[in-house]
Amino acid sequence: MPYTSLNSLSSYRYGFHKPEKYFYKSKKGLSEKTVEEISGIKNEPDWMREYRLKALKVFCKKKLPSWGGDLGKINFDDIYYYIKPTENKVSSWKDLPAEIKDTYDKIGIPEAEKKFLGGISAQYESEVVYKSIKKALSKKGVVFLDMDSGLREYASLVKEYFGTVVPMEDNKFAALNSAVWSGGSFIYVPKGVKVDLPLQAYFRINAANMGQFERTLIIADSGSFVHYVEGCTAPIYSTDSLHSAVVEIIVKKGARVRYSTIQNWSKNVYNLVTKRMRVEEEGIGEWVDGNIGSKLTMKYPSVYLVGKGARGEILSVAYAGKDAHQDAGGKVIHIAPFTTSKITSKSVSVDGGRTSYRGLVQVLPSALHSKTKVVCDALIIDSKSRSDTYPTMDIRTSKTQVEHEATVSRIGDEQLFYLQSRGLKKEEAEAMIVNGFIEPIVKELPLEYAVELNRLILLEMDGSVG
Amino acid sequence: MSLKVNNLSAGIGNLCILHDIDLKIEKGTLNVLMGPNGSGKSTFASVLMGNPKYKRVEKKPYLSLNGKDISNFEPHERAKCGLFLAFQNPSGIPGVSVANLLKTSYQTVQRSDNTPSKKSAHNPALSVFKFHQELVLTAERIGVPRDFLGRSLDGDFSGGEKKKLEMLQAIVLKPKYAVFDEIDTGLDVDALKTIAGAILELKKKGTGILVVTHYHRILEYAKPDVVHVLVKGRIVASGGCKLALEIEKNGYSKWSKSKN
Amino acid sequence: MIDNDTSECNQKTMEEKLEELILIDNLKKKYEFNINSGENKTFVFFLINGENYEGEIKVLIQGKNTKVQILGIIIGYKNQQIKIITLQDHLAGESTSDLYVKSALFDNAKFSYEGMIRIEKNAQKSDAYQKNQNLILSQKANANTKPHLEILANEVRCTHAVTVGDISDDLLYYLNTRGLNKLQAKYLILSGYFEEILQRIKDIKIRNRLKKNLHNKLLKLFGLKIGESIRLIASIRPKQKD
Repeated sequence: MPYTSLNSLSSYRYGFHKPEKYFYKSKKGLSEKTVEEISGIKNEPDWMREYRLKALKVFCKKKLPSWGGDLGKINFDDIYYYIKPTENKVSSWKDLPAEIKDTYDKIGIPEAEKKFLGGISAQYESEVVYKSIKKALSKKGVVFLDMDSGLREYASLVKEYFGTVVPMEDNKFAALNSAVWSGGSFIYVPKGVKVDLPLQAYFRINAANMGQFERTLIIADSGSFVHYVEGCTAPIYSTDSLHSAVVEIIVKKGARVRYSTIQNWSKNVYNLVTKRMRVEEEGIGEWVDGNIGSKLTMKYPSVYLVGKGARGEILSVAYAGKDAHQDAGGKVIHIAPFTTSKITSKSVSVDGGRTSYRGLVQVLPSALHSKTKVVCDALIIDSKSRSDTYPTMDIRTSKTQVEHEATVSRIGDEQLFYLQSRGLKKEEAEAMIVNGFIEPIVKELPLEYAVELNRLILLEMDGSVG
Repeated sequence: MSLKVNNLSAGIGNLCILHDIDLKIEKGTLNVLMGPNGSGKSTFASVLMGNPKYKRVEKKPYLSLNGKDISNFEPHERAKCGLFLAFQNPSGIPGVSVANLLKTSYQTVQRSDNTPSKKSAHNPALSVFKFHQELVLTAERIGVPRDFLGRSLDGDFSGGEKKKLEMLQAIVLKPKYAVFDEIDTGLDVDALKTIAGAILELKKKGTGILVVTHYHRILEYAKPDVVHVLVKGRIVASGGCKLALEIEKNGYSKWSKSKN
Repeated sequence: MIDNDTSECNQKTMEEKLEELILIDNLKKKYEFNINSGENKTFVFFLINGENYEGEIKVLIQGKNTKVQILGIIIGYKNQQIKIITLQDHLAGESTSDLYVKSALFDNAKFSYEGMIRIEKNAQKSDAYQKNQNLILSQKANANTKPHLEILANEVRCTHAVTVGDISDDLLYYLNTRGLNKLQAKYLILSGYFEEILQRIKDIKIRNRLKKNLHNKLLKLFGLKIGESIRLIASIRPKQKD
């Protein structure tokens, strides 16, 4: 396999050069040897290598979850656990699935982006943009690197926090990620610094963000603010069928972090993600989570409210088209007193798709005077589709107010007739109603994502894609 | 040039609501359909627009617009032909703003061909901007506050405000024929005058108008050219202004007492 | 009156499609009820005796045009463990199911409730509702509730709502200013709290019997005497028509 020829190219992109100590032959399957090789290629400190090996043992012992989507078909031995970044891309525009090319056209993605997303081009014009943003950020002391570089340049900081919010024992896929992670982002925001510009993984222009086993660590020091955006509304074609990322975020006293995601993986992907924020006193943690693609997504962004007065909010929108299963939602754990949380979930299932909201609200005895509210709305468009709601409320104190409500409905005939009387075809009317339905969450996304998402839904429902 | 209804009988399920209705709306005229509650007036308005809820008794042609048979057209096709219906109780569409709906509708209805929307060759931003300007000006003229335009259609609007928003749509979309279903209920005198003024303006511009109402109030500010009376699903009388005045004096008892 | 044979208790004649009431006051096993076309049934589970309860109530709607109501009054105290599972399974369309369960938990009581509404693919035009309210009255009591929905048909109306919390201090204070001490105020609030469920029981004899049992239990729990309660109700509550 011609990995060596692309080695130098990717080193350039990552901005580091590494002596070619190992000639890495990509092998399928997971073993201690694979893990050692991954750590070796990255030239990691011993503690990380040991961490990975320990995680591998945990992964092998842990069972698959008995709930959620159907994971039975995943063959762990039939997967490449480390592939140099460009290898999971197609080698020419021709090989990209027709519907993906189509969507890029219809959404109106600029030529350069198309090529990049299609994996053709290893370079991307906006690398220039990235460099200037990086400059502005470093002036404020903000660190924004890929995780590999973060580990190298900020070793002690990473060591202090890595695995503290999502320990390897948390679940089988967190263990997997802990063993074979590669890529992802490392962000540190110093005390009191507010980053106005949403940090987009997009700028980092590389497959590290579209990697299988990204690991992201964000540390927001007290009083700081950062908004991190990742993902892409346009469908990303990935030859990898298993994606298992871990995102850990530490929100210190009085800080605020918002993490927005739009995921639209191609229909062969299993997307199993563990995302968690630990929010300290008076801190605010917000997840905006959009799930459009993949064959199966299991993702429950969580907020652990550990400090007095901490606040958490989870906004989740899921769209399941043909053969897709979005099993998503959120978890909030109230540990400290006077904490508040809100979960808002909007899901749409159409053409045989299935959406499942899965959530947990836990209020521990120490979380006195806490308040929480969950609102789940589901829209089932046709008789082939399915919607589930699986919330759990585990309340262990009296001094709290907990509310939860859920509604499942279809598009009303009167609404359809009204829009049709204004000249919209049935499919256009349905799309408009669906866009209106998810609007409260979409409006929280940065503008260009919001616009793209609206157009994507219009296309999906108009049946002109796929 | 007219909107013609021929021999229309229709209903829901086994219940026949409209019987043998013949009616003509000439271009640039103000027609009024009056009748007691439950006579089928709103049903008639809905059937004109092609609401799939109602079924015709016989599947023969019954509706033509400027000579074109649109009896089998779906609602959005009728809209494209230039037919507009102002709803009595506009449906709420959460998350869809008034401005957004209007812009989409305007673009859809203005398209004479059925090409799917693409990123247009000319700069789309300008026409959107112009449209928005026109929208804001029109809104001001009929007393719709600017901030209403950004709110979602099912927002906390009063009944009267909803009617004004329907009127706004009628003006902006410039239909050939417009049906107003109970546009006058829930309006105070000032609003009524404004709405009546807007209706007359539309008439002047050539729109053929049908106002469906059981109340005569609006007629004080907008004199009708033709008045029809609908009782128990049948047109029992047609005439001019005098007919409306008679109803104002004596109500509908003359026709309700007679056998169906 | 407990049984899992729905045709036995409180049955009206076949000509009258009146509501049938099935009362369950001791939940220790699994119950399965099949509801057929045109039937109208109300299930009431009334669990206030302080025992540990663990059971399941499955209601399977097999025919169209049926109406099912499931009502629950639960009081947990001391070290009681209460585990309840309910299922509203719509296998046929054009039917309605409506569940309303309220609990009040004292001392160390632990209440675990799992309520599933399932609407199968062919059960179009079904309406299903679920409302569960839980009052936790002591710091050590716990409520763990899982209201689940699995909807496979699209022409349906389905909602569920859950609340968990304690009695608002403002409300207690208000009643204090009207002359009630804390215990009397709580008794009054709880009587009113469960009244909503009782009002849904159409059979007046059964409703009154349950009301009496419930109020006696509440009085005991708050250490009040029966005579007190009558005076309280007369002085504060508006006259209720029955």
